Amino acid sequence: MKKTPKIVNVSDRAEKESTFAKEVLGPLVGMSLTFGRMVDNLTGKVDATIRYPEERRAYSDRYRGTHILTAREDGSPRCVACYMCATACPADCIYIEAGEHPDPLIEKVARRFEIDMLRCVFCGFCVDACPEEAIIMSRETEISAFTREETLWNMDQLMNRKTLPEYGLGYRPNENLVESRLTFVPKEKVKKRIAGRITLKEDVEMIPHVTFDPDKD
Amino acid sequence: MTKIHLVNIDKPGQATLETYRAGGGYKALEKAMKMEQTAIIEEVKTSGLRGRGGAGFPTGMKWGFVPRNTGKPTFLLCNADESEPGTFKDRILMERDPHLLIEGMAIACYALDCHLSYIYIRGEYEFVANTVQKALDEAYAAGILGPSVMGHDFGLDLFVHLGQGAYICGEETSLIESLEGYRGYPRIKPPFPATHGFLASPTVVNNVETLTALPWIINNGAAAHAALGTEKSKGTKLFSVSGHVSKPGVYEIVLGYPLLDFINNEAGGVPNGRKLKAVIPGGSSVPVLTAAECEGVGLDYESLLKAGSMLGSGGMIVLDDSAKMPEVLSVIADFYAHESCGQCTPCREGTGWAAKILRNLVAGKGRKADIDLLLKIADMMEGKTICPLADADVMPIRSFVTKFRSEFEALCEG
Amino acid sequence: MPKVTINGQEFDVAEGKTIIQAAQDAGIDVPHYCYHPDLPVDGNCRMCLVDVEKMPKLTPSCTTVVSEGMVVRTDNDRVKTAVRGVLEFLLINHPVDCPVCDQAGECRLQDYYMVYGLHTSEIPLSMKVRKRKVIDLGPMVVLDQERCVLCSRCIRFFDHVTKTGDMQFFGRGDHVAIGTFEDQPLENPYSGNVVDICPVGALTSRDFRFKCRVWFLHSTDSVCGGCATGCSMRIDHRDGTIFRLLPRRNVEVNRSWLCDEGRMSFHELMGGERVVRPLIKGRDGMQAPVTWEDAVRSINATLKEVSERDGSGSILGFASPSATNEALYLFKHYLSGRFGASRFEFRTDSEDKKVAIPEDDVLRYTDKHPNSMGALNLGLASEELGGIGGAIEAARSGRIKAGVVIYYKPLVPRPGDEEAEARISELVRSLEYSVVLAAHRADWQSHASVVLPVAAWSEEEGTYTNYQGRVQFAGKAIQPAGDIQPVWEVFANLLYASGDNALWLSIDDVFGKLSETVPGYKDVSLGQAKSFGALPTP
Repeated sequence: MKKTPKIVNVSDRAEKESTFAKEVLGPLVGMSLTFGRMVDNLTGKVDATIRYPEERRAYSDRYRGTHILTAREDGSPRCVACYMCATACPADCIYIEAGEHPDPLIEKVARRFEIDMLRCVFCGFCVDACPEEAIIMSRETEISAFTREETLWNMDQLMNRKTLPEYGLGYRPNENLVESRLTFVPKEKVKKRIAGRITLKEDVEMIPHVTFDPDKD
Repeated sequence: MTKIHLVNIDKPGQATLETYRAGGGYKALEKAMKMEQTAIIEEVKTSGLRGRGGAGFPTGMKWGFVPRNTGKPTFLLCNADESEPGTFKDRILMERDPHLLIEGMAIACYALDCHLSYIYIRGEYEFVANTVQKALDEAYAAGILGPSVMGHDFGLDLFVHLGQGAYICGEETSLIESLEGYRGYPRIKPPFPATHGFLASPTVVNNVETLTALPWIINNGAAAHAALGTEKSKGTKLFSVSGHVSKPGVYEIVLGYPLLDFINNEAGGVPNGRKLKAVIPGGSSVPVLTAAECEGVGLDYESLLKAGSMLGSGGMIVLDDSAKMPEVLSVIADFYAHESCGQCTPCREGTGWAAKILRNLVAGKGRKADIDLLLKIADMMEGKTICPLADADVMPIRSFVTKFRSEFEALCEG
Repeated sequence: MPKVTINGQEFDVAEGKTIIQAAQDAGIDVPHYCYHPDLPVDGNCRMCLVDVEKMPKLTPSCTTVVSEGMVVRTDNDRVKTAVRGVLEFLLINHPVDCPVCDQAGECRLQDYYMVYGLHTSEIPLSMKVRKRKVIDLGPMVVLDQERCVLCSRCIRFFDHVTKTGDMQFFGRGDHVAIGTFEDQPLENPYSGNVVDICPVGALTSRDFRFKCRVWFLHSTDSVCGGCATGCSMRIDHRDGTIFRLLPRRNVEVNRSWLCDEGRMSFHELMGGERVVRPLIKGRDGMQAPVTWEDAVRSINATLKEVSERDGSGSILGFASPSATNEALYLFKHYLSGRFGASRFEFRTDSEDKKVAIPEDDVLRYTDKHPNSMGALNLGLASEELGGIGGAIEAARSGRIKAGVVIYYKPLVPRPGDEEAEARISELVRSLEYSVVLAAHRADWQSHASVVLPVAAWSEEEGTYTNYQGRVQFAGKAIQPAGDIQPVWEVFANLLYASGDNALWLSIDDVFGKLSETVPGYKDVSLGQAKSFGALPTP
């Protein structure tokens, strides 16, 4: 036997449930946020804009900015030149040359590691592909330079990040592995928990370390 | 009880040719030399003698597989690489009565038309090898060996070859490889040694105990031998008993003798008023039997198989209720991990892994999942290797873990 | 022929074949490590276990010979479980250091793990057996004992192919490791092959070490240019650089092997200064770069003048046994067809005799040119001149005025190469007018009237004829730099510019004409030459 489908009359129900509060006060409740922000702006409690570059927005902890090459305890690069990042890179902006590491347990190390920041699309695939947590991202975005050569960042630039304390670490999937020792203590107390007006000056290690516990991983 | 191998074992000076001859030695060889070669093989076939090294393959049938007139020489190799934990019967035979072995080998060589034969003795038995060598020198001097055996038109040379201490060289094909001068790796069968053995020639590999049974069979006739034992397991067998018994040692019994009677009457029973817990009846590589399973089991090939174990090489290990089964198994697994030759993957990796897990368990660092992992490793190893060494590790692992699982679980935290 | 059923399909299999061979012929992949078609069977890896009806245990397919009515399954659960088990065993003590391992990307452990494994490791790191890493085994090989699956392919290679027994197993149980006695370096001339046959990353190439990840490489099928054997090989290259040469299996020529000199020959090719522009000697005696058009016009005009003034016998064609058959054919066709030249030679040494002398009993031949046999078949050895000595004499005495010389640097150096080059230099100096086609720059080329930049091996397509007479095709792997042109194209342009109406557009055109005119080459097709080579009918 064929079942007749049950018909639900939506307009009937809408009419039935319609009340004054829903029809009139509902939108007003929604608009209260807008009005609240309007009042905040008018009274100067919150600025709609920030005074860049003196002020910067606090980017997300997973922001994909310029790359960082992490180091071992002894300061040598963690990178073992496996080319996974270069393979995954859709912009083909990573150039690596490998060399012999004196420790046979490490065996391989990157001699040259260059990222063409103008080609990079900041997709973060390199970070995902890395089996050694050797490449992570920062929240730095300002990479402008006077010549094209300067935008080709070499290993030294990628490892020793003088500006890093200002920006902080960005995208790194295994956060617990990256021993960043970052303490986010803003200089001024923020009045409200909404966007803007946070200038980061943090206590950061220049070169983030990655420590693996062989028994745990 | 009738004795075949250990008749004169306690006679002082039995290792000398003089005493051996005085006790009727080399009569069987003399008799055999007057028989047809094929008649001896028939005789061995009717006697129902089975290989005493562990597999229990009928000796007469094994000899029958050897092709004749191939243009290549035939070789008889005596497997005296006795290394199975718990087995020490061949040592007694060679140490106390080496001429019995020489006589047995001479008979076998004559039957197989073999003129060159080796006794492959395990490396640790250097002192035994010296005794055998001394006996060989005597036999050569007396004209028993050499260009004409006992004055007949049949030349025979016997050599002692000392192994270098590898358990795997007790496996017949790796014994052959080792004798040829290569690494002791088992060969892939087929081809079988009967056709392509030592130096790619027809080869028979027999255990010491098998060969020492031959003089008695020739002297007393195949029928007398066939009359001993059960329907399918004929003759007598040496058992080397160790563990928790009052009188450990080598015993010769007629096959079919009840296991519990043997432990209680012959071996003196379990000492210190303790109770029997388990018996490994045939050397470390056979499944263990619990005390309950031992009820009514006879010591012969068939009834032990029916009880879920094997006769093996007759290295009986008796365990009383003070024995900690995981520790026993760990020792056995360590042995196989150490003795795996490393040729094929499952055995090389599996024996080592199982041993490590067991060591961990015994040290109290194991998990419950490790017990199932042990059984999984056993499944992964069993029947996938070139030689039976992995299976020899699988059988104790599986039987110990399934029969005494609670003891293993008690060692685990979670 | 026994009938065998594999996975429900019936096949006729040649007598004596093993199950794994029968399955491979039928297109069924049986996983394996130790089995290699050109090595004796060992049966130790236990990966190729298959289920054969009426056999109680699983059977290794590499050791079991097929018999009539055999029913084999390679895909049932019993086999899959066993294979997964073996793979798990192989991986428990493996260091899984794929990021630093050069084998990654062409590793059998990786491949089979993705097909049969996909399990999570159940062994804690602390339980793994550690062995030695980065052991230097001479100029070709680096050994990592931890990554080894102990398949014994390398050991069998040295035992049965080179018969030198360089490697062996050490230790036993799970501590077994491969190695050489006291880490002695492998100085065998074929040691590089163990890197290819190693199914995992235990033996890796010292030369290719860390140069490039294999998945970036492009492959071109070719033939070795190192000696008269003409081993089938594969050129692995990226961005115009050759990274490695690997053997390509050819049962008729080199089986699966390649000698170390051949394997390293690309370094000789990539090294050294190249000729990149056509050069013509001016009135001041100095060579100056010109366009190809000018060079072609000048050559045609001068050769025409010489042939009209001194007769066609005054023109010499001096070929190279390293040039392709197509290049040599058009070279001869141009000189004899346009100017009636009849004096041709290619021997700087006794190439015609050496081509039949093996250097050892594995692969190498004493003649270090890939195409001496082709040059002989094309009739480029003149009885009158009898080698370069006769040519030099004829040039000195003035019987020969002009010459076109093709010169290639040998890819596998041997003592005596300098003398051979000195003789060519002498020939060029003795000639009144000389056109030199060269890939690499050499000092003596400054004496030539015209120097033309030509493509070398791996930069051009063409066929070579090896010592057996087998015609084999070598592909073009890299694009040469500058104005460099393949030799056959140079002569095609010269022919066209001199008024020849035939169109030589591709290597197929040239080879088609060649097989028509050269005796014996009639049945040889370029398609055959591309796969395993083709033997001309005698």
